[in-house]
Amino acid sequence: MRPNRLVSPIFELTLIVAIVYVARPVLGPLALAIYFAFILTPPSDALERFGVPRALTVALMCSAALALFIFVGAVLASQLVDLASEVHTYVAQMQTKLADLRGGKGGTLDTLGSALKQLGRVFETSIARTEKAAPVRIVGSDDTPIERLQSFLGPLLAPLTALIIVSTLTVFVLARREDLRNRLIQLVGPQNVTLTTRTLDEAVHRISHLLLGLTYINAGYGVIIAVGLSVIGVPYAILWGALAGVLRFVPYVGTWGAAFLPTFVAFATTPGWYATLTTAALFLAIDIVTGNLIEPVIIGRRTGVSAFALLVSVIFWTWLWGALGLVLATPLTVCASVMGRHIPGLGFLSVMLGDDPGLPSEVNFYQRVLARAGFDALRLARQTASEVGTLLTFDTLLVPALRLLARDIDAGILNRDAANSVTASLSEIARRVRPSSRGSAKQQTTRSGVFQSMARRLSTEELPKPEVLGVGAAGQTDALLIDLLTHGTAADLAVNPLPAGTPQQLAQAIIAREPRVVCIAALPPGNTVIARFLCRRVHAALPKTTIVVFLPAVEDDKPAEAAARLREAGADAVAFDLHMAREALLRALGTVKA
Amino acid sequence: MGEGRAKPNGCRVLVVDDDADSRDTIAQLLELNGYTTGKADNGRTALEQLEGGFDPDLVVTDLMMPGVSGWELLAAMRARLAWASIPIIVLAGMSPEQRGQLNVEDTFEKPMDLPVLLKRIGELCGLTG
Repeated sequence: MRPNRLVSPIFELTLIVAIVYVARPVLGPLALAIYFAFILTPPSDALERFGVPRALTVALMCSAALALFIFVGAVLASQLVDLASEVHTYVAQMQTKLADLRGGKGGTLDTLGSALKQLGRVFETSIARTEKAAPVRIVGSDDTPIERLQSFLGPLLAPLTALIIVSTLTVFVLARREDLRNRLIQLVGPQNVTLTTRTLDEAVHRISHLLLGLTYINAGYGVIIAVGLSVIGVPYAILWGALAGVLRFVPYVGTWGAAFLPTFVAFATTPGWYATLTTAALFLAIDIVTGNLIEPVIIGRRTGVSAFALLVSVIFWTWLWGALGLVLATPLTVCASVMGRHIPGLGFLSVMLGDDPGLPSEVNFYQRVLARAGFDALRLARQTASEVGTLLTFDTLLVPALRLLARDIDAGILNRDAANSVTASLSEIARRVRPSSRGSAKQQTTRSGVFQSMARRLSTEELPKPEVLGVGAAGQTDALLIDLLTHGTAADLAVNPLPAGTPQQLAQAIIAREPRVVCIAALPPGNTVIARFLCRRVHAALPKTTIVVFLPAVEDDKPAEAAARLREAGADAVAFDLHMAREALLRALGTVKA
Repeated sequence: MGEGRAKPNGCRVLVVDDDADSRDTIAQLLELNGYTTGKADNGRTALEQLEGGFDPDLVVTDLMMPGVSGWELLAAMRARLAWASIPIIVLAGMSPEQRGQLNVEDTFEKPMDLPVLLKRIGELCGLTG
C-alpha cells in the first residue's frame, strides 16, 4: 500500500512544532541572542574597520546595549509603578466623564446602563439559586523567612536568569560569529559550501538590513510619539512611546494596539475631547508618514516577505512562544523565506512567505482560462494591455498560455475536447482585448503633430491596409497564432488567414494565391517541421514571395538553430514574438525600411 | 541520381532499420542527393536520436526490429507533440494485413524501388511538388 503523501509532511510539521514548543527554554534565549547579534553586528563591524579589537568591540556593544536596556527598563518600571498608584484617581475621573457623556437621567447611555443592570440582576438571582454559599476558612500566615524571601525574589528570578543567559549568549554569538558560520557550513556539508554560504549571506544581509532599519524606525517612532504625547499632556508619555516602538514590530495591528491605551488614558485623565482626539490623530499621522515615506527610504518597499505571511507568522510565534515569539516572528519569517529560496526541498516556504506573486502572470492567466473563468482572464489581459499594449499582452500572456496548453496535451493532462475549449477561449479573448496604440509606439514616435495624426488616421481608416497571407502550419494552436497576429496588428496590416488543411493542401493554397508576403505561424517544437516544409514548397514555387515565419520559440526550442534551418528552407525572416513578426512584415511590405 | 554528391538541401532524414545493408544503402542514397541522415538500428536508438535533438524532416523506418519495434516507434512519435508532425515512411517486408493500420504518410514494400522512394521523400520534405 502506498503511504499517504499528505500524512507524512503533516506529521513532520506537527513534530517540528511540538519540538519547538517544548524546547522553548533552550531555543528561545538562543534565538533572542542571535537576534541581538544581528542588530549589533553592523555597528561592531564598523568599529572593527577602525581598528578596534574584536574583544573590545564586543564588550562595548554589549555593555551599551545592556545599559540602554536597563535604563529604558528602569524608566518604564517607574512609570508603570506611578500608573498603578494613580489608577483609582483615573477611574474616578472617568466615571465623572462617563456621567457627563450619559447626559442625565433618561439619556441613551443611561437607558442602556439600566437595561444592563437589570439583566445582571436576573443572572445574579439565578446563580444564587443554584449555588450554595461556600464556607469561609481563615488561614493564618505561617511562612518561614526563607519562603518569604522566595516569594519576594521568585518573580524577579526568572527574568534576571533569562537576561543573564541571553546576554552571555549574545556575547558569544557576536564574538565568534565567523566561527559559528564555518561550523554551520561544516555541519551542512562541505560539498554544499556554495549553497550554504549563499543562503547564510542572504539571510544575514536581509535580516540585518531589515532589523536594523526597523529598529531605527521604531525607536524614532516611539520617541516622536512620546514627545507628541507629552506636548498633548497625556501622562506617562515615555511608557506609551516605548510601547508604541515595540508594538510597531507587529505589522498592521501593532500600531493600533499601541494607540489604544494612551488614547484611553487621555480620555480618562483630561477634560473634554481635545486630548483624546489629538492622541488618536497623532498616531494616525505618524504612522502614515512612517509607513509611506520613511520606511520605503530606509528599508525599501520590498522586505522579501509578504505582509500577510508576516502577520500570520506573528500570530503563530506568539501562540507558540508568547511575547518572545512576538519579537522573533519577523526575523524567523525572513530566515524561513531565505531558506525556501535557496534550498530546493524547502521551496514551498519561499512560495508561502515570499512577496513574489504566487503565480507567474502567464500561468495565472492560463489557470483562469482552464478554470473556465473567461471573464477573469479577459480582465487580466485587458489590464495588461492597458499597461503594455496589445502585442506585448499577446506575447506575454496568450502565446505562453498556448505553450502551456501544448505541454498539457503532450503530458496527457488535457484531452482534445478540453484543449479545443481552451483554444476557443483564447481566440475569444484575443478578439475582445481592445487593440491599443502602444503596439505601434515605435512607428508613432517617428511622426508628431496634428497633421501627422490626421495622416495616421487616414492611413489606418480610409486607405487600404497592406495585405499579408496568414497561414497556421498545423492545428488550432497555429491558427490561433495567426488570430493573435491578425488582432494584434489590425492597426497596420490586414492579415488574411488561410483555412486549415494538410501541409500539402496549405502549400497548394499559398502557391495558388501568389501572395506578396506570407506569414507562416508554427508553435515549436512540434510544428516547425511543417513550417520548413511550407517554406521549401513556397520558396521553390514563388521565389519573389517574402516568407516570414512566426515561431514563438523559447530557450529549450534552440531558437537560433531552428531559425537557421528555416532560413535554409527558404524563410526570409524568422520572428520569435509578435512584435518581431509585425516589424518583419512591415519591412517586407516596404512600410518600414530595413 | 548522379555519380557526384549533390549540394546540401537542408533536409534531415532519420533512417531506422535493423538490417545494416538496407539502412546504409538508403542513407548513402539520401546523402548523395543532398540530405543529411541519421541512422538507428531499432526504435530505441531512433527515439534516443530524437530526444538528442536530431530534429528530422522525415523518418524512414522498418517495422520488424529487435527491442523497440517500428510499431512502437510510430506510437511513441505520434504521442509526443514535438514529434507528432514529422512525416513517416514505413518500409515493410510484409503484407498490408500483417502490418495493420498505420498512421503514416506512406508505406513501401521491401524490396522497394529506390528512385520512387527518393522521389517520395523529396515530396514529403517539400523539395518537390
